Amino acid sequence: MDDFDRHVDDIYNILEGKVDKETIAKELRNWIVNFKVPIIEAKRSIVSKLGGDPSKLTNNEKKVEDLGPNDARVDIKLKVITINSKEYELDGIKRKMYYGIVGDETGTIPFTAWKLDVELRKGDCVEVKNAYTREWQGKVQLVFGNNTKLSLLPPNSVNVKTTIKPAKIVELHPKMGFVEVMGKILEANPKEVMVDGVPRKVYEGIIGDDTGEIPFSAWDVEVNKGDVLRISGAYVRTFRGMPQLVFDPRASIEKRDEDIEVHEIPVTLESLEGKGGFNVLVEGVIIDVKKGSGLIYRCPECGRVLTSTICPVHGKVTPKPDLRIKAVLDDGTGGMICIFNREQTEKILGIDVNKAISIVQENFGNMMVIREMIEDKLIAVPMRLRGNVISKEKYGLTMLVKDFEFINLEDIAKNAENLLEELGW
Amino acid sequence: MREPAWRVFAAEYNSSKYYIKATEPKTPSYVITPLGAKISRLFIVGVLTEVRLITDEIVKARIADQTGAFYLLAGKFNPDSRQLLETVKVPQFVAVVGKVNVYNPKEDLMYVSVVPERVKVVNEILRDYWVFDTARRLKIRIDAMNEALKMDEPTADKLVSLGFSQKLSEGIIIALQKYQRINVERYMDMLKDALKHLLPEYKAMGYELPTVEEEEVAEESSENEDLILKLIDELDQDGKGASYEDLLEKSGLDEEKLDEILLSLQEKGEIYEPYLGKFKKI
Repeated sequence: MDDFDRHVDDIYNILEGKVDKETIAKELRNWIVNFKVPIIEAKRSIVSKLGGDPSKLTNNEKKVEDLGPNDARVDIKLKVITINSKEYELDGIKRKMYYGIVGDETGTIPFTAWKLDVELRKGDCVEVKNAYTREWQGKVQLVFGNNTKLSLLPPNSVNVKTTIKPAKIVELHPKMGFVEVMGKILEANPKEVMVDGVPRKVYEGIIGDDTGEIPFSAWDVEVNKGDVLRISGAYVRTFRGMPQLVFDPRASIEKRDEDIEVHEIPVTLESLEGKGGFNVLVEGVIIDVKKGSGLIYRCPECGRVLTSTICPVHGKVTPKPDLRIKAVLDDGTGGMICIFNREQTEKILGIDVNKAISIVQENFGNMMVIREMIEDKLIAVPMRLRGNVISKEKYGLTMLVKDFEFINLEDIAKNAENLLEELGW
Repeated sequence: MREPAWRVFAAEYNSSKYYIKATEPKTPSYVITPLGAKISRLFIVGVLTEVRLITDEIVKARIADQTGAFYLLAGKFNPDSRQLLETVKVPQFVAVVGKVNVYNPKEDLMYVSVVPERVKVVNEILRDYWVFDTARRLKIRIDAMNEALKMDEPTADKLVSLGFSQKLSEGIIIALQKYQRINVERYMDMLKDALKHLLPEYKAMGYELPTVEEEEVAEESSENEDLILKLIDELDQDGKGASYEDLLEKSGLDEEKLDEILLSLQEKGEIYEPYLGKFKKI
């Protein structure tokens, strides 16, 4: 269909068939050829003259590649590539927002939805009316707001042109779209899962490269521990508050005949903000020891920390003594609460729970004594920690410490010399 | 998210001329250094060289590193830090976690200080680690600034795409807008100097911090002290004290000399500094 016919169709559709196409075509030709009126103006005038609503002519239908940073009105047909949800609180009410990646035949784009008219799932095709775009961290993002209307389209009515971005594992983020990573399978466990009543096989495990590790799930693809794979067309989603790499046979997966080193450099806390991390290594200085660190008493039934012998759920109990540390590690790029369990706290303090109890007794029941001992040991001290990091809007980053070590301070002169050499002094 | 505790040397921090004030309660204010550190909180390890009680409630202290000194102001909201500062003997290695504070007597003039959240006595090894840690972070800022200066139209995005962090990239762009000339060379020298002090051969040369030097120069400047005392009296019109910039202008002395005299007078108990940058006779 050439452009002229398309314009005739536009007018015909707005007039809802009240005027036949031949009449419209004649009219339009007259305006354009004889009166040399610009096409948009001509269409408006004809619709108006023939009794239609010219505002319906405005066509905001766009393709992903057309989207700029501040488009106020976007109508678009999309396919959902990934979708994640996140809970947040506004005015004391719990709400849910969604984010992920959508795409069409011209490309992919991250989206955020403050509400959804229809339930969207990965793979759905959807017609979107009245969305808008904004810039977030330097990237254009599509936003479904309060005035956005969504309606589902038939399956596979939208094709997606995928752009695949090569990435190191440390960089992986749910807003990235499709990625290509090369890594070594460090752990892989097969599992049968029912999806929509159909059993499917999934391998779950951990993949690592020279920058870090990430959990993965591989659908209908067999992966084995020790494999070195180049996976092109995987994507990242948030799973249990942490990023996870997902791929299936639609990705191109190449088994490499080489071994790669999975060497870990500590990640910055800034890079974990908003996404958390699985089994990450961080390095920084302890700058605070929080209330609730030291000797605490818990309900023997539920583990709640108690301040008396009454548990709010289990009533009168005999509280069990425990040791823990809630400290703040800061690496100059961000801060994180890190929680050390009893065993780790005992190791740091060099005393066990019973000794802690007797120290408190010697100090006339002052529990602060133990916290002060912890502060003395840890504040201003550089540490290297490993564990899972959860990122929450309100509290920021929290790590349940799996392993810890004090940074060796004997190498400072050597490190200084190396850095000076690098600077060519 | 928690504001990071930046590691910067005193000279970079004290060169800051730009401040972003919090517009809402409970949001942070920031000092922007010439190298784009956007600081709300700092972590410092250095040598406590001086502690003075300004009033019953305010303690002022100096913490020196190899490049200069941080000014600490502990008030009634920092009782623990104040108590520690009042009781500890100088010189002493201390670690401080603190928030930025500025005194802004007039446009184009700003003094920065640090309000401590926590102060702890530490040892020399932790100080050395801080110097190394701070040096390698300074190097990243120098690299980022050099890259930005090379660009025709520097943006945070371009810096991020080169691998610099979002926070630093944003800070670099603000610094470029706010500072006329950024002397990156000066910071490169500072970086090398700081690292050299960590090498065994330099340590063996008996490098220590400048508490002694200050006493030596006190004598020769005694005649200037009378001049400054007189000026403080004259310039203290509103009872709040004479401002530093007025003293600088009227005395005709250079900054270094004036600082020296003001410090000496404060040590002798002749004057005090009720507000940062304001001086009054006792």
